[in-house]
Amino acid sequence: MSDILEEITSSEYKYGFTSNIEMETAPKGLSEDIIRFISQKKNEPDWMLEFRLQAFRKWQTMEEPKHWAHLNYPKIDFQDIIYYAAPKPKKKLNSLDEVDPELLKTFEKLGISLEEQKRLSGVESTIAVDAVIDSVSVKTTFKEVLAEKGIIFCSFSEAVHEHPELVKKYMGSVVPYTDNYYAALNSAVFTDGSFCYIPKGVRCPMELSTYFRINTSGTGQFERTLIIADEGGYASYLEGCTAPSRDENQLHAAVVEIIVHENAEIKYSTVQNWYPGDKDGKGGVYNFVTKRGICFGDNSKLSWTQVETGSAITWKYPSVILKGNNSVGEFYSVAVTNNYQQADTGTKMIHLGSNTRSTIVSKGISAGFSNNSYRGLVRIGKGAKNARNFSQCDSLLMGDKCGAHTFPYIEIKDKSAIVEHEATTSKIGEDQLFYCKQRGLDTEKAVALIVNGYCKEVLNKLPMEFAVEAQKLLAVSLEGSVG
Amino acid sequence: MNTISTINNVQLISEVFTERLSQLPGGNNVQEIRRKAIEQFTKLGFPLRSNEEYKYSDTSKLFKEGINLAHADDDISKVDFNKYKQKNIDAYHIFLANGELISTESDKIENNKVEVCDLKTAAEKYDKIFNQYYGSSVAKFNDAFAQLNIALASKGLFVYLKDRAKLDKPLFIHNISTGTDNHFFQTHHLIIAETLCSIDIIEDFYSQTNSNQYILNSLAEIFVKEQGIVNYYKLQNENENAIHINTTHAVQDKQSLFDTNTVSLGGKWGRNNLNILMNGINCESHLNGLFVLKGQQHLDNHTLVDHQNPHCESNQLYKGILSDKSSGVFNGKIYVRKDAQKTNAYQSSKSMLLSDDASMNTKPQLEIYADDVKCSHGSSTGQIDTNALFYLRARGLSEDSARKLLMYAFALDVINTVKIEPYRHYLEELIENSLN
Repeated sequence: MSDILEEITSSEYKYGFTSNIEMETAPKGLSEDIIRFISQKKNEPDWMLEFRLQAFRKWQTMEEPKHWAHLNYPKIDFQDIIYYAAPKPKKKLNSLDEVDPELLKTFEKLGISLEEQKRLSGVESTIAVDAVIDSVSVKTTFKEVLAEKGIIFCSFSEAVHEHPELVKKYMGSVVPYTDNYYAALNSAVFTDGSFCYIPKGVRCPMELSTYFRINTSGTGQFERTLIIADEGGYASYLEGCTAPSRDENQLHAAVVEIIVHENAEIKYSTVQNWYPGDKDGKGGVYNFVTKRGICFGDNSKLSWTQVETGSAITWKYPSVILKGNNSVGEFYSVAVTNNYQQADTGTKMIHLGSNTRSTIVSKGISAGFSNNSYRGLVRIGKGAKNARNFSQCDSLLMGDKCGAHTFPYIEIKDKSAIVEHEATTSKIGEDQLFYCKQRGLDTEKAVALIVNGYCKEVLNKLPMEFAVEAQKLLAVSLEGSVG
Repeated sequence: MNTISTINNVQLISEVFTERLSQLPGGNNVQEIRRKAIEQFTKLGFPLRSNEEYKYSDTSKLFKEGINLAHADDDISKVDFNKYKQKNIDAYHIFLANGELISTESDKIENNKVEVCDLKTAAEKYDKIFNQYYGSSVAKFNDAFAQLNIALASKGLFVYLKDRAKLDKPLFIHNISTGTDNHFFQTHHLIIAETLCSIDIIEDFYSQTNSNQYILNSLAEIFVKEQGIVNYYKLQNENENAIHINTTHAVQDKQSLFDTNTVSLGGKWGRNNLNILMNGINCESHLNGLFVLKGQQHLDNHTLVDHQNPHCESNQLYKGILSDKSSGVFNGKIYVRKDAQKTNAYQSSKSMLLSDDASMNTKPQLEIYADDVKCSHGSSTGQIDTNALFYLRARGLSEDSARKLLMYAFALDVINTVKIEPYRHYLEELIENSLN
């Protein structure tokens, strides 16, 4: 069994290449000057710069959160990070021919061929991709097709220029810059991200997707995503991320805000595969992310699905504020940690409206020397009549050097609420393994089968295109790592 | 001199400590433990909401009006101890007033293998054992109240069983508090059951009158040695002004059994820390708790089961019924260390909210570092099942009595785990009354 473990723990991170794209970077460090530099580079209006500076001033007064999460890492030197890096030359890209060929190669390696997308552009139900390298969104596909329906899907910088009224109205409305340390940092230095607006009554015909990649050494990635579904709108949004293998730790602090109006629905899926560090825990991405959505109108629905396999450290709690009556929040998560990875992830469901419902299904798998924690909050506010929550958090341990933890917070202030929480921790059952092996499967295949079955509830919630990738990812990171 | 202003509570407590230290029971190393504890307490201060363990229970309000550390023992003579004795429970009844053992009222135990005395006597008569055990189990427990108790406690009960002793009847400890005007006092029990000894202990807490107001910070250290059995049942039924802080810390050696049941009915503000440390293999423990809160009551139940060794089993069941403006907290942690393979640990917490102003905060936690384990927790919060209510009403019960019956049944799950029959009946009666 130990050699199988060895094989797995030594399996290489397949997205660990770097691309030789000429980059333009800001000097290291963080100050008001750097923020002005970023803002100027992006040719931003004054109100945007003002927002950044306010956030920066707030950030300076805040303390780095350390005490509560089940994580352990050295102090981050925020002056040793490059806050802006963009592929050079930076000019407006109108067709793919103008894109740096090196860049296109990068995307091919990542498995998202922009050219392919282009060729298929007439066909419905493929994916519209917004690709973000380091600080800048390099290409958004299918924009024209979407525009016909009135859907706005573009980079955040573009939205600031072209739809300032929407950005002004919604930016910071769900995650204010005062929210937490990393949200404040992001608000001050965020460089790009995706913006999406679904107009009234429009059902987005294709999956929307953003692909994030950290490329330049020593950079931090701070992207900001804003999604708005107006009354009766629907969209399914996918997010993927990778980074090159480096010895140093890279910082990723993103903010995602989602606003769902009456009768609208957003489905947000993530496959997070940042570089997790090598097998001795060296390097890897620090993933400190604030994701939050609000079900603003009645009968609205927001669903988070995440498959977390990467990052040295994950600190992430996609949340739903259920403000509208009859609104629904969902959270489905598979978090896998191996080697020296640490994950502290979960969700928050804040029930404010009547007849609101939320479901939480979290599956944690820890192997190697890793620690995997679920931390979640279910809060039923006073006056949230007939609120209903069901939470299930299961953890699977592989090996005796790892840890699996569950820290749920359940706060109930209304008597009509029904809240249930269940959690279990165990290893793969000997009897299950025996059953599979006895029918001719080897250990590796048996474990893959059992783990896939264990995660099925969550994987089923992913859009087709991602489900396949996620299943492969799980297989790569875990096959047979049971002792 | 001892009524202290809020701002300097911590500082003045440490001054009082220095003044009293030489008179506190225990030899040199106990004095050292006390000194370390007060140091720790001064460092921690009274916990605020920013302390994760006190997230839902702010203690700053409790000490707003200052505290009174002076002994108010004059009124002990006025206490009618007979009133607190449950006559139909056949047991050794022991009375403590503000932690002071009242020997004249207490039953004598005619068993030379079992010693029951106060801390002062124990520190002289059993100096070796006292010095070895006092404060040892909680020294590392990072809680301000526990540390303060270790530092300042001079009163409480010492229970020591040796030579395979088995006490024939339960030991019933009655704690009566007479304090008024923020009287803040510490009681400390030290209970040691040597190898193959077994004992049933019932402990209840009452206030002398319906309104005397005090802050009790009690602590029980319980050591269950190899193959020992300790059943420990606690009932807190104080008046609506009382503030009750309790830490129960059990250390189990191999193949021992610790069974505990905590029923909380009274008090204005309560906090129960129940810590179990499994120091040997094949330990078993059961933690059951019930609370019925009304009015403005606040109760915070914290449990920690530390599985340090393999093949141990723990079981928890906590239930609460909350009405009016009461608020409850359940925070249970199962901690399984790296070597504690083959651990079975279960936890279940259920609460019922009967009013829109009541609130319940639950935080069941699992922290697990061993892979071959079976651990689970479940938690649910809700109201009375309407189907069950309909069923009973269809059979002719009034809505009121149907509700009461369902609540009673809900509570009974916990009461049924009590092994001493007459005490169980006594609890049943109390619960029935408190649901009325």
